[in-house]
Amino acid sequence: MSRSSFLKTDYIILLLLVVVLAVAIVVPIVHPFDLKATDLLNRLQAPTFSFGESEYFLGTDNLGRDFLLRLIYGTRTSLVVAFGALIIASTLGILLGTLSGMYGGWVDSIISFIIDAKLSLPTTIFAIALASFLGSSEINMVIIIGLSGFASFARLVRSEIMKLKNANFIRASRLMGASSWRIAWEHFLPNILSIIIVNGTLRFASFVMLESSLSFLGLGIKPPNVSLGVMVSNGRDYLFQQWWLSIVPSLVIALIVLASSILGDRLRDRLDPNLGDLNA
Amino acid sequence: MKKTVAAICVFMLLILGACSNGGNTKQDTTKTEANTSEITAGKETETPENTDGGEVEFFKIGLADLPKTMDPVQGVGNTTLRVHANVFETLLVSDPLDNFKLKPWLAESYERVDGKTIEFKLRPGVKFHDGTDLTSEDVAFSFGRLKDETIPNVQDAANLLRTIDHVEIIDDLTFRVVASIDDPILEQRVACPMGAGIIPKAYFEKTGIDEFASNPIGTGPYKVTQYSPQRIDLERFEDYWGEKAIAAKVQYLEYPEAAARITALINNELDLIAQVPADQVALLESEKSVIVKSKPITNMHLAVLNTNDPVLSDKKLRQAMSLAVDKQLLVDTLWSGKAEVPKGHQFHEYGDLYVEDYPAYEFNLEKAKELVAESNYKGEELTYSVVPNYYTFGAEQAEALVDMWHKIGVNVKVNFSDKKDEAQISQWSNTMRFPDPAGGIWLQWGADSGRREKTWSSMPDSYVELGQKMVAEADLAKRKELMVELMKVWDDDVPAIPVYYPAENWAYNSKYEWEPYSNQVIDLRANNLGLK
Repeated sequence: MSRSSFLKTDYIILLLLVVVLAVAIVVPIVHPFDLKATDLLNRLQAPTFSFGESEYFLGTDNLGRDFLLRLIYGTRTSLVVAFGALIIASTLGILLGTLSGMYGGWVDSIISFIIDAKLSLPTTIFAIALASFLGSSEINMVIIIGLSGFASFARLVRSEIMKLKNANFIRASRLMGASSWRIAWEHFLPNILSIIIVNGTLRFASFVMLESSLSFLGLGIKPPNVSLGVMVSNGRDYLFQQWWLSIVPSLVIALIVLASSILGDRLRDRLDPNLGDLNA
Repeated sequence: MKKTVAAICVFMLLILGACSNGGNTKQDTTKTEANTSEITAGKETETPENTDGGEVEFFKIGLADLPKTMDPVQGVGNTTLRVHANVFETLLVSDPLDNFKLKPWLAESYERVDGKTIEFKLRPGVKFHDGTDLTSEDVAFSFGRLKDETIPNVQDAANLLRTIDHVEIIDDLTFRVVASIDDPILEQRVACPMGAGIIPKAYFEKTGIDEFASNPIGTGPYKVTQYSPQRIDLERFEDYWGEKAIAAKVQYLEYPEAAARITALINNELDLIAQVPADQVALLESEKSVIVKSKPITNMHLAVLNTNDPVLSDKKLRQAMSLAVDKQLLVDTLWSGKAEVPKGHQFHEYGDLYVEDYPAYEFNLEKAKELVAESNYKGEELTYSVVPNYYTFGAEQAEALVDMWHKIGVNVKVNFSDKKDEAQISQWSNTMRFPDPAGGIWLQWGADSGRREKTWSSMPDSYVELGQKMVAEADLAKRKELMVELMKVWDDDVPAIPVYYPAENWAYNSKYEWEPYSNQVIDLRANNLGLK
């Protein structure tokens, strides 16, 4: 098996991901747009691609707002939330995993119990419960999704560190009097970084999904702010006639999820030392 | 700028190219809905001729929300209207298909004795669903219950029948309803489909209030076999005093999503749905198996401004917020022109009491901005609380209003929550209970309405005096004058912003003949629901 070869379709999908990211980051900066503003006289305009005459490329939504711009802003919100959650989840996961892996004993027992308890709960239900408890805002969404996803990081880091703990170079460094902090920072972290990146890329897809699901259910992003899930939800009453209102944001979600999963898979092929051993 | 955006997003075309299936969905929102208004009110219901031949096993109704209780006096509202009228009946009926003219119903005849008293004679042979006979005792009990303040959410219904002091029983079928004041509209009160339903005393005393609220009986054409807030099963009452309804079983199902309701109707999973958004009417009309009917309803959507809130206690701010709302725009766009901007807190159905030349609610941005500048408002963020899927176009209206307020510098954010929150701005509707200001403005905004505690602690004394005078005024012209004065005080104080009278769209399977009522009652009796 050649582990480094990308398929052609992978390139296309990754290119699309880059374009989506770029558009979502750049457009809101160069084209500020008031999400609150409504234009009722122009509601539910058809998009240019289907009937050609509209001045709005993707038409307008049920309150007459430019759908393409909303889509871009919504994509940005979804990406920002997922990325923020990723930082929280990975930081928390690395911290708990390292503690647990390095110290073992009762620290490990407690942390492992927390991780197991978290993993035994279905993620969506856990997130819904947290969302109804904390209330929803962009910050809360980041926290909720971060807390829903830290366990896989923690478990991964713990097992890697347990493997590394007794490696000769760690023992040597300990004998030379390095502090636990220094060992964690200078030896463990660089060694587990690749695996965290791979896991992070894969988790990113599920975080986007989770954000969209919560927003779809009305527990996530609230108007006037918009996210992809909110757009799918708003559009579903118009599925028969203005189908693009929910299909297009769904496609963007699908694209982001697919692309980041593929990216994660390819990165794993390249970076994961375990796979490398198998293939060697 | 637009070009670069378009260019960057060419990739979307790739994906969408696969999905756009020709131009068959071509539509023009403003045009397609214009032709639906002609199927509105005015058409007399015709009793279908072949009812004896036509029998239906099951009739299923999909609604956005079902009543939270089956007790006719608890938490009366739009949701109870759509269900309760098939189970409970009133002494008189105020016919929505005939200008709300009063007609005998459970009472066979009635006669005014004096300003305070009406003598009723019950229709003999009317039975409750448990087989017992309807007697004067039951009427006395049903009206007497409303004085019991321990019943949850009883205020609305109690308010409605507040003037009733007691019921004097003469014999099993004859009794007098005695009001505490001269009440010229006592007949309308006992005919109200909200709260005036007659229930059996003996059964209620046996079951108690909690059991009754989920397992009630009345005299209507249908009895409840199973109740939950998601599903209500009814079965035809074979000993019903009137004509037999055509459906043997009726099921009300909760379908919060408009799209789901519409799909279920098209797929024959449902026979009748209410609250079809105006945007979807054109689609449904193109379905051969579906008939759509539209009607303005005796209801008014409002944005309630809580005057108890420190920011909203500023009258000038409230006046500015009302002036900033372009009601006509909402009517023309969201409702495709089928809703209407109210002229004061009154309803067309008041008949002679309706004030035609009362000014419609104004939209004036300049004046609104001036008022904001004069007010103490300093940019505080307010919250507009909205229960999702409860009112047709509720979410759209809220977001549009927030934008309109934004234009005069008032910051509001929408908060969608399943729990009604009246702390600052909230969405509400006022349904006319009977064609008189006592069943409209004074019922929902009167001294006893609970509004004072909830959102309007600054209710002016002059308003209370006017209202109390008006309710007792028997002379029509004077009553009307008092009503105008009352409306003026209300409008000046702006405890709420009336936005529009909504229109309601119903859709049903075309094998039936059915007529919607402007008071939102869904009547399944033989004279209103038949097979083609």
